[in-house]
Amino acid sequence: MAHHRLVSLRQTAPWSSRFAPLPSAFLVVAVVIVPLIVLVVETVDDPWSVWSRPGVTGAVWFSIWQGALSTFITLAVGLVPTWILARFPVRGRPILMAVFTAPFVLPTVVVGAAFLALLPTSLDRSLVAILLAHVFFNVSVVVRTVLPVWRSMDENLLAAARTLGADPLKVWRGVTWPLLRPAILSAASLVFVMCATSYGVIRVLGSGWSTVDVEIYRRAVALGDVSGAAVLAAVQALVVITALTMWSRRSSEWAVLSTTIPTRRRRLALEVLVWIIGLAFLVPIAALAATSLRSSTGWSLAGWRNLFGLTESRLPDTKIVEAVTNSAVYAVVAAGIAVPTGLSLARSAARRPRRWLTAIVDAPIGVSAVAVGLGILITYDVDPIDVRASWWLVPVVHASVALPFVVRSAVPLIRSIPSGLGEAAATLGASPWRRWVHVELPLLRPAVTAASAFSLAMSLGEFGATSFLTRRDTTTLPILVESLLSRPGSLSVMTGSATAVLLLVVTGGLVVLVDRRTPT
Amino acid sequence: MSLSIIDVSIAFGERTVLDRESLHVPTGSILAVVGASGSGKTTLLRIVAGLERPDHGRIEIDGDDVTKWPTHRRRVGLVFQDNQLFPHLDVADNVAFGLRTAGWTRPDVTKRVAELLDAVGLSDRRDQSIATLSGGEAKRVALARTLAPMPRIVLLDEPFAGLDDDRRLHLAEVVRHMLQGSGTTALLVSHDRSDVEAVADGIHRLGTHDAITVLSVPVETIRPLRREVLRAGMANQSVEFDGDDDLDTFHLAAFDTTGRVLATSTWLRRDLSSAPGRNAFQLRGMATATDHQSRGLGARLIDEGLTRLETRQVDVVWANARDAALDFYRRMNFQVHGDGFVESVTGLPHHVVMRSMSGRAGDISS
Repeated sequence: MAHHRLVSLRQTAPWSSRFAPLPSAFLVVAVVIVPLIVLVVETVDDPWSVWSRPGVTGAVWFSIWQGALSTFITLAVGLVPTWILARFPVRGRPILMAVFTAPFVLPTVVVGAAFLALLPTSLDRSLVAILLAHVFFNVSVVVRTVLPVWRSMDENLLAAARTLGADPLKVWRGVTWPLLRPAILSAASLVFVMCATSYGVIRVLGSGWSTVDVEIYRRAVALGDVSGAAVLAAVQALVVITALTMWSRRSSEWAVLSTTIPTRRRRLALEVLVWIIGLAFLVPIAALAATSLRSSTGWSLAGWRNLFGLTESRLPDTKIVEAVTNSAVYAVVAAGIAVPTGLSLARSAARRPRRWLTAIVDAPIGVSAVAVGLGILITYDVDPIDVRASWWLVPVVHASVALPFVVRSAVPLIRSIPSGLGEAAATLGASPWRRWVHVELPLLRPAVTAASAFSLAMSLGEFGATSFLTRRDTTTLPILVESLLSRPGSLSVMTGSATAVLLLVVTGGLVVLVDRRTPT
Repeated sequence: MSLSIIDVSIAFGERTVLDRESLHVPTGSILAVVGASGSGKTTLLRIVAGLERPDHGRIEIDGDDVTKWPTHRRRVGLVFQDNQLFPHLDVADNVAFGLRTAGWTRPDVTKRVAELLDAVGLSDRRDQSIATLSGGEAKRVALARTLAPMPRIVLLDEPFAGLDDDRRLHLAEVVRHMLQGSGTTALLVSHDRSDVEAVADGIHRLGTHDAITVLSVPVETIRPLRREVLRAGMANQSVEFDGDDDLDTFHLAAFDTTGRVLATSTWLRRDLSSAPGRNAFQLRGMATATDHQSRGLGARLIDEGLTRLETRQVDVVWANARDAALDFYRRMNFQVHGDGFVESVTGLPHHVVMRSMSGRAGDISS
């Protein structure tokens, strides 16, 4: 009988009550939403004139068509391994799952650097490079969103359709596609948003091309047109948040990745195909690693020596060791903020999803990171709260950027915890405190691990907002990568590439480890 | 530890789930609540456990109003329909959970856990993950976990759902053995009457506003109950019957919803001299008021008794009846045997009335 009240407040720990989402909401409102509003209010007089300034409509148009094209290619490429891995047993499945799901958390500048290393000079700052980088990134969104749904589709359901006389095409049209459609559409909408608001990739790869995000940066920094940047940021945020809220009811969480092996017959051709695609994903990474080792005269470890401070750096104005330390400290502090905050929200959202909350917490995805950085500089410069020089500003911003991913990764894990266990413990005489310590906390451990890994990875890779907020002594690794790769000279390229490889190994490794530990 | 549910109502939004439900479970009895799905059975258990608060009415345990007590103070154990075993603990730690909560010492916990796992036949599984258990095994672990801290009341939510017939029978045996062995007062709910007949002392139908609960009671209980009945009603009877202790004898008692006993009825294997060689049971009842018979109480007790005889291949049931009771027995398909009076053990003049339980016994009265 299913007519229990969904939430029995008396039985849950007191801090899980309706106040649980407040810290998350506060973080996002203070770090993202208020700065954006202040930015608009303080700088914009005439919101209409910005549209006639040179480059603006071009950037909007490029965002849209490039986003659509990237999404289309990503789906076309991504659904093939998704299908094979969902339906067929494949040798080396764990490796392939890691290859197809990890790129999403890789820092944008690292992916940019990888394609810069891979492509011949004629292509390396072209549209092709941008599209390839976007596909590389976002195939993991498709795999993460669609594969679990496809995997959970009961073989007998398809068999039932066949016994009812449906040919394979009708089975696809009548059963498979309707069941997959919501997942595919939500993956598509998220991919489109990611590509249309792309910033780090374009900064590294796309000279000449501008998305709205890049245009915001160009106006604010290169042209001094802060009011134009503010209008663009506000409009983009409105469009993106509305779209995310409307389309992606399902995508507000990532299903737990199943590691169970499909029971169907192994098919060699499909196995070969999925391995070819998987290896193709490793090529840019290999190229990046190679670049970090290749000087103008031959193979050399100079870049890596530089990175770890083993040699006296011959690069002016770079504090590599400081950047490593800063990145590590910021990531840990950001996780310290984002994980408890996000888990508190995820716990309440897992039991009772609320759309307005999802919209607020997703705001960091929709609001241009550049605008966040700019907005914070403008908002918090008044005397009592002039925090711009505070060291903790960057980790707080990182926490808010990581928050949507913390929540997304934690909600399905929390939902997989049987909801009656707290009640069962209560009937066995356990007080609210004992229930929290002996039942809830141990069961939350996988969610804490996953949330921490995502938070660390997002913080280590954050580029857009950080690029506004760091000063010379507070630089982070992604900022360093971008700055090294944009300079001439093979030593700076080698060091930049080595730094990128380090970031890639740490962020990708974190997420791969968590996914492998995830219970099925 | 007796349990009273008094006038309890609860609604979820517009939907009334329980409407002024009352029942009483005397100490040591097992009462089954049956009702269609959606009739509020689980909700009733959740209210007793304190997981829901009723909109109206109250819950009493041994006369204490516990309606506003939080769940963890009530010492009411609940075997959830889906068990709700803790996935992060192994079998033994699941069973030990309530003991550690109650502050048992480590050796005591170990001993009690071993005792319970032995009782449910899972001693060899103590260190296993609960993920490895079959449906029936998980249910037995859940039962052991609930009984371990010796709760005052045990609640069982559809304990036999989803088990095949063999396992169901086995589990029913285990449940009955463990509850009776510990003298635990229990309330279990089921959608299927046949599921619980083997376990429960009596059955309460949800939503019928039945004012009477009829329960099987052991011989130690029937005598004080008889005394209570006699104090309230008919005099001059003994509370001890010959054959009370016989293995075949069983006792029923009817209670109102406040737990007051209204009538008792004892069924003894006793041959009837006029029907030699026939398998016969004598029915001896007493009630607090003579008009209970006409108000349906007598009929309920006879129906319940006959149901329990169904499996025993009984040929004939007989009783000594006073003049005033003859009409009642006739309505219950008893025939008056002969026309004279007999001297019954009470010393009062009686008729012998009998009811045949099978075709071949029909000839005894002719």
